[in-house]
Amino acid sequence: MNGTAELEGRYRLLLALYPAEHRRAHEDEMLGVLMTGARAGQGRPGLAEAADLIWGALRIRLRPTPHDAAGLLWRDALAVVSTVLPLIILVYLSVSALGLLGVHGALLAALARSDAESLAAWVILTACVMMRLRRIAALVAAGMLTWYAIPAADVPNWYYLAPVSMLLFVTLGLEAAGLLASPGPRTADPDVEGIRGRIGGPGGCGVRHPAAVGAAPGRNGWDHDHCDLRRYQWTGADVRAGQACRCPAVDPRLLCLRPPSRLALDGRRPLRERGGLGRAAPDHTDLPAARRAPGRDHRHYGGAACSCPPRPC
Amino acid sequence: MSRRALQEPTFLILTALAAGAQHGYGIMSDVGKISDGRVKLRAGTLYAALDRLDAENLIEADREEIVDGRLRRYYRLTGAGAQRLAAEVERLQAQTNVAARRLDLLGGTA
Repeated sequence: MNGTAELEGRYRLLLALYPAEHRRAHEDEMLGVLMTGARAGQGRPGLAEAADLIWGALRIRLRPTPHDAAGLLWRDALAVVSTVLPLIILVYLSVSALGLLGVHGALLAALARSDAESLAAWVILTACVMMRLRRIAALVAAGMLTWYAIPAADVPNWYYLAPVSMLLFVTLGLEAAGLLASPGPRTADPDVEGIRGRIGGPGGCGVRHPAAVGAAPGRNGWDHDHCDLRRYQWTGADVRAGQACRCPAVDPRLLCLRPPSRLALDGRRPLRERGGLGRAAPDHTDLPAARRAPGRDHRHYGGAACSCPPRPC
Repeated sequence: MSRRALQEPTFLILTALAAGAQHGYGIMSDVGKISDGRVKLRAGTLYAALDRLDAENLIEADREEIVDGRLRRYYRLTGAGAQRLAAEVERLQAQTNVAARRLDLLGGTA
């Protein structure tokens, strides 16, 4: 193989990183540009050139095109969910900590029992999101995930982790991924403008697209009796997403005014059902109740709850 | 409506195309000349920018040629692209004027 063919082959390898549609349109043309710019006798792409091609491929792959409506919808859904998620959890936590409200839902109940450091971490995460520090917020979410996960690593088998702990990991993972893969709190970004009309639905009453609904935690098996996040889900991501996306004038930070109003409606219902303030639902993820259950030994791993079979003495 | 300022490579690409349709390598060379060698566009950056500008309808493909067995596609500014560039020039000019006036003022008082 002579030098030119070798160089061309190596450029083709790098160009293979681009999406197929882009390659069909531009591969030959880009190859022409690259070969024209190559030095005489050059056998391989320069390091900076290779890095530039890889970065260019990444940018094009991460950039939804107008033809990629599904990608835009996912990105928009992730943006809104990652903005609203920490806010709702923090509002529930704060109100619960003040003893004003019974906590409904396993995840929220578990979080309400968590310590001051955990609450502080959620405050920091929410503050970063509200201040639109998207990447820093993603780092905080990833740090919290690690913080919760490290103690849980002592658990002999992930199977023994309570569903609520897994849900906590999923929630924080979704938050970090959502902030990285979308404009996050910058939902008024012009990039999402094109689909605002589609995602909002008639009257701006909420997101009805599967992308948004699927991105909101609590679906797909988690919202059974023990992990009932339906109210939490409807309180936040599902409904507010449509409004935030539809109205460019709405500052996402104003969304903080909405969860308390929903709390007044949704939060009181479980109180009446349970007949008292601050009494958690007696399900298997409630640690005090679970400890009394025969045959299982439950321990609290930081913010993560797990249940293990009794150890031999 | 306030628009986000164009990034320098984007501004230079649009400026290169303002002179007429050019192919990829021509744009890269022209950008080097316009910026006095300060900005060196590489193919990955150039085609990511062209792809975005095309999606935003600021440029469009003009024609294709085969030269030495290699494809050359020429790009040109669209009407919207010319307007966007003109708006950016106006914005930069306004800022430059303010800066120049203040520097004059500074020179006068110093």
